[in-house]
Amino acid sequence: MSVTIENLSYIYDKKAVFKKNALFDVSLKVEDGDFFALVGRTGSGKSTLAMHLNGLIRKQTGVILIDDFDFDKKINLKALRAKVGIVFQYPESQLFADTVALDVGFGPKNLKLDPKEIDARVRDSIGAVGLDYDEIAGKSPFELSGGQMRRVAIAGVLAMKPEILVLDEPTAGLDPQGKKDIMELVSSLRSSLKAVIMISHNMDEVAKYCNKVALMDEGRLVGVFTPRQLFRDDTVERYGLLLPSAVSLAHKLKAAGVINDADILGEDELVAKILEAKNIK
Amino acid sequence: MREIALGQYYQTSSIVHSTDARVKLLISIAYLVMVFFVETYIGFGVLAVCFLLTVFASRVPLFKVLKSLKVILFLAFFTFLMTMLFYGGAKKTVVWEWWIIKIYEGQLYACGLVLLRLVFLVLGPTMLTFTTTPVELTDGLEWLLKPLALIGIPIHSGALVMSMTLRIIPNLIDETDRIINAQKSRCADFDSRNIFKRAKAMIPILVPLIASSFRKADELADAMDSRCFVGAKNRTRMRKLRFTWRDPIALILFAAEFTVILWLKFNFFPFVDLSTVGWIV
Amino acid sequence: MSLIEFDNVTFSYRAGLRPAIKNLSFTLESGETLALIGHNGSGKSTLARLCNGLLIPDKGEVRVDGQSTRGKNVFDIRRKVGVVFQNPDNQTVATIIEDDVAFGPENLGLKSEEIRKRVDDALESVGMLGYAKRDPFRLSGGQKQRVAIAGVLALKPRVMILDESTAMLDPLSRREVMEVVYDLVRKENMSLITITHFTEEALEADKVLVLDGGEKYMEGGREVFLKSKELASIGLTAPTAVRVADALRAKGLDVARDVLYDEDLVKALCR
Repeated sequence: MSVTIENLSYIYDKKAVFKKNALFDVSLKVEDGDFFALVGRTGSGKSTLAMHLNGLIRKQTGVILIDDFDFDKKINLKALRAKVGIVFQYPESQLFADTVALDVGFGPKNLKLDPKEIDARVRDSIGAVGLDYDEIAGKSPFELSGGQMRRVAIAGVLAMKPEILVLDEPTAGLDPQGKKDIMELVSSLRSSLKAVIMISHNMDEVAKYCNKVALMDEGRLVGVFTPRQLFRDDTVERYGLLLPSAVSLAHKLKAAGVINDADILGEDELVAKILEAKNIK
Repeated sequence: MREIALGQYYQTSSIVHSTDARVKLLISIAYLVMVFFVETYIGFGVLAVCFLLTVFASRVPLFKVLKSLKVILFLAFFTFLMTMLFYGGAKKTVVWEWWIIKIYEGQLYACGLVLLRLVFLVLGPTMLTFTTTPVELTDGLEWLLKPLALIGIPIHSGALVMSMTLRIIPNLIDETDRIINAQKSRCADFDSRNIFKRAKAMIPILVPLIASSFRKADELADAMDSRCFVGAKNRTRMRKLRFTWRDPIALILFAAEFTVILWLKFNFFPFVDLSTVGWIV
Repeated sequence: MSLIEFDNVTFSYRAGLRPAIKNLSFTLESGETLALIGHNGSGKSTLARLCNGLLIPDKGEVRVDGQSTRGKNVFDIRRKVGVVFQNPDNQTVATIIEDDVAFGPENLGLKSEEIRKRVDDALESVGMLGYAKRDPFRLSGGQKQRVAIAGVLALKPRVMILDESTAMLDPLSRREVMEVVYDLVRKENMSLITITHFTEEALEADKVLVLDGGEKYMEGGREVFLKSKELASIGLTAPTAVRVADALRAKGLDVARDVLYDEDLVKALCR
């Protein structure tokens, strides 16, 4: 089940002078198995694009193809939203129910599933985000730590059994360990999902986990790259983003003539490259 | 959506904009009283001319001002219906007739007056908000209500609360938008016809909204405390309200208008024979 | 006399709860910059609130310029210690930027002309003077934080505390805000405590204090960041150059011990 977007344009307020968050003629394709990153500075249209995918925004012009949903006609929104789950920024702020189990079960209940199925899904998804069902299910979500709340919120989306998971800056506001844990979690979910789409400002994460990156700028798609292609030169810096820290270091080493090329993504590769240049095995 | 909350201030520089907010507030209040003294078409003619001159001087496009009448469309229709049904005046000349419905000339005449009053009651305050920022309004109100502080009513805190409310409303609207989107993504149903179901559907929005409002209030209180806030009472103000040469002129012009209106109503200059214009009165 | 002095401070939010800060002592001198790092829940934000008397220690004492926060002159202390908080949306009180910056001086009861001057100066220092009449709501996150910094500056504090003030910003805004801050600190000879878990921000400060579970874990100059193992064990990361240098040494390459910044590593490897 791939996602195909062709010539998608969207303008919030046609009269506004500043076309912030708008989209202009965006075309891209997300295929099964992709961990797809959407990057670009704030206001470049990433979220607008994401909200098209589950029908929160009705498309104005262009083509969206997801499974057999026809975005030109009136679509069954519930069915679409069960297929495409979105985890918003700071998702812990959407928790509301008396207990964790009820909150996670909110989505399945809205899908009118039978209680047994709901219960099974709640158990599965709480487990999937690395929390202990027996310990946590009966607690109020407001008693939990920040990191746990975020996991519960993600479980709430997973409980709908989406095939495509969209995450808007899932690690925002977390400390380094928390960031790593959440990224490992998302990465572990890939096997049970068809595709993961992640909006991110953190290029280290994009370089480490994603296989494709769409770079956006002022509502336009600059291009879709593999992380290796994108970070090979200073392209991202020209669009107001930073290079991954290891790549940035590699560029400096290359400029000083320590290594011959900066064609790396992570620290391990950089270390290997330096050792190679210094003839150490 | 944010625009609504921020009021409808029309940014430009004009003699009306730069008139002191206190003067504008006083005039607006007196204006509302004045409108009730107008009982003839010639009176409304005077109002209309003065109003057009004010709009012209304020540099606010006339159609923008007239657009504000949209909010009373329903009320106007209702008023029209009521006067048609319960008109008790002279039923002489029939203007229009269909089946058992008859519309008399007197009826139309009376209805027109009621509608005009309604229109001018809306237009006055509209001009005030178009030419005065919420901050100026708050400052002006605070000054005008100063005498109340003498009898122990906390005017200064009230003004601060009002300005902070204005400040926070757009944030809350944003937050509400975000929460609604998040819950919609979990297939929450906000469009049910059943009123009880609909009320229940608000819980997943209200609980997170209230939780986040408390958090906001907490953080805001910390930020205010940190900036030496010890209560609104002993604060000084950077912006001082200053009367300028424009203000007495505005007052004089308005007083002239009011005098004309009163004259039309009470005819206290009997040496001018109003009956000469009787055909329109 | 130190500008800020923590003397064996213990604080818990509720009796019986694990203390958020435990037996903590440290000092900050006039003109010094200090980075306070630690994972979420290590007591960093509590510490910020202890500095300006928003919280009062259960045991021990916090002194600002010699005055205890326990005393009656907390107003005086807050004037000297300006805090910029995390969420850009929850610190502004007015719908016009210059009114918001004026909030602090207005609380001090200053004259209108003096407030005007302080507001203009503060906005000028953070490069936001051109936005004085705008609504803060429409600014970007980084600009909002610059306005918040101006709001603190207008009080003419002796020390500025950034309580994770860049945590909600994108990387570029983060840089922009930190540049403004360090420029200011140097120009005005202010002290700075920056609370963060971004190593690159912490690397700019003269001193580092690492907290874990409310207790002091490490303290010292920038060399603290060379201890990548110790940092990793409490969920923090050392700078990239330090980690790469460590890995190279493990493979037998002789790299200088004091590599901290990217530039250090370039220099060390060029030799």
